[in-house]
Amino acid sequence: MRRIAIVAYAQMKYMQNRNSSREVMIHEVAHEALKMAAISKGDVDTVINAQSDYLDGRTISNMKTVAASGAYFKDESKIEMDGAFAAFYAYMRILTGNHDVAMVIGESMASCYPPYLPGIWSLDPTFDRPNGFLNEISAAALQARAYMHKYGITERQIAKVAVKNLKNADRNPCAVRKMPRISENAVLNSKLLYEPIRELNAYPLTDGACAIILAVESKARQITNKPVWITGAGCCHDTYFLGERELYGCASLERAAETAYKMSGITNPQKEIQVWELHENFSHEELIFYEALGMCEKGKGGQLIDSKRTEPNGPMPVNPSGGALSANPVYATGLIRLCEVAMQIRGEAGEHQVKREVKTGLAHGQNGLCAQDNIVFTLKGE
Amino acid sequence: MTKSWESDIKELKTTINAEYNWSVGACMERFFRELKNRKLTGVQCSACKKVYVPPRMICEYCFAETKDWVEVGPSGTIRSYTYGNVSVDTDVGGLKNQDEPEIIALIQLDKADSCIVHRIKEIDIADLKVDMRVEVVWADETAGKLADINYFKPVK
Repeated sequence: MRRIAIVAYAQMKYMQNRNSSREVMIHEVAHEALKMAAISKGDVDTVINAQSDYLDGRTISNMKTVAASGAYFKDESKIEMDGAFAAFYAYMRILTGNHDVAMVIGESMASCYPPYLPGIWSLDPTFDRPNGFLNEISAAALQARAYMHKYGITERQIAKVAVKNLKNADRNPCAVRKMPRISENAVLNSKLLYEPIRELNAYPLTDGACAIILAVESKARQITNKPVWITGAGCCHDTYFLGERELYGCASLERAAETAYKMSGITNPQKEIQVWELHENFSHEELIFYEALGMCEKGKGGQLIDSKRTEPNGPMPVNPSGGALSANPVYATGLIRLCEVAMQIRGEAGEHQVKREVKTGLAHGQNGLCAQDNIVFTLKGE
Repeated sequence: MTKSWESDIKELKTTINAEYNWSVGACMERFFRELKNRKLTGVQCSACKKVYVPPRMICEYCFAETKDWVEVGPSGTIRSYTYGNVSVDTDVGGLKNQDEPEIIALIQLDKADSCIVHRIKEIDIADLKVDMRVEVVWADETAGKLADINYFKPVK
């Protein structure tokens, strides 16, 4: 099988309101990624965009962004899912042997679309949508309560995730929500949205774009002396119907991770993975993901955050970037996780670089209410 | 970096009004019709025997047809709950404050394997519990519409 690596990346300063257009953001990250790789638009064989018609307010939203993403007169496609799935699509296109270099871009602007309505539009139009009870946050609240009830997880343990990630965000120049002095009590006293979800447990509305360039081994070695290899990838989709899922766990992430671990030959993820970037839209999700990824036993996510082992200086650093709680440009967020792991492995994460040696990492992306779809990449440096 | 020419650009507000005609499918059609008779119905998978509410034509686990109709409820068990101090502003998006918090629950109706999401009334928030028993309260007049299920209340 062809070996494929991340060879370049670009992020931007995420904002609540960029006061600009999607095309400008896309062009900016595409241009920066090409600049980092020191290649031109002509060297890119295929471009995969992650974006949504509903978030853009325009049918076939990638028609207008062909120009901005450098895809003019090229093989271009779009995936209406998180950017990590777009990376998976690009990865497969290179695996076919028909393409050698791929540009992957994810973006959205919360300042443009009506926030939380696209989530409601994703609901079953014959039952849940007309009933009007579910949205991203109320669904997450039902999940959080189910998880707390099943394993005796406390609100304080959930608050610790927000404290860790929003403190980490202070060292990430791209993050939009940075809170260096945040405390557990500040999280527990923040505005109650849907009990037990509070404002600081929920992702911030964000404008932003992220790009990575993937290349097959022969090209990767020409482009960089620090390729970050994709050693494993797996994705899995759970049922669409919230009422049929075991919300206290994340079975589809478990399966996705199993596939990625098997492909990369990882048998002990706790020891073999040195940095973890997870796509947690809400604090409690990070604890559920710990369990699904095999970072701890089932029901022990609360104890793992208590142990501080997932802090940046711990043995299993999770979201040294601040994660999705610090910036969540929908459809870019999972791609940002890939980008962040690549930065850590290359030693280019600046102030939020973890101190221990990082040669391997895991990046996670998700879609849908309560993380219906999950994707996992395992990555490795030279 | 935000370039100088990017600042102070006017926003253009546009609206898409789109009305769709969804075929609810044979299963949901029967579900709606039975609501008029004050009955909650599910379907059973011919292979794994799981009962789904709201009903649907295929069990995605077995990839088998669901054939047998089962009357479910009218009581059920709360599997999870929340109450909203906010709600989504369905006109323009974003969150707006909710004066009277609405209690929402995942309810597993008796004889069903799946849960539905609905509202709970006639209860103090402090008394809410997972595993609590609740029962359906019908609208005064039922018409074969979703609104026939008014809310759920604790079983006395």
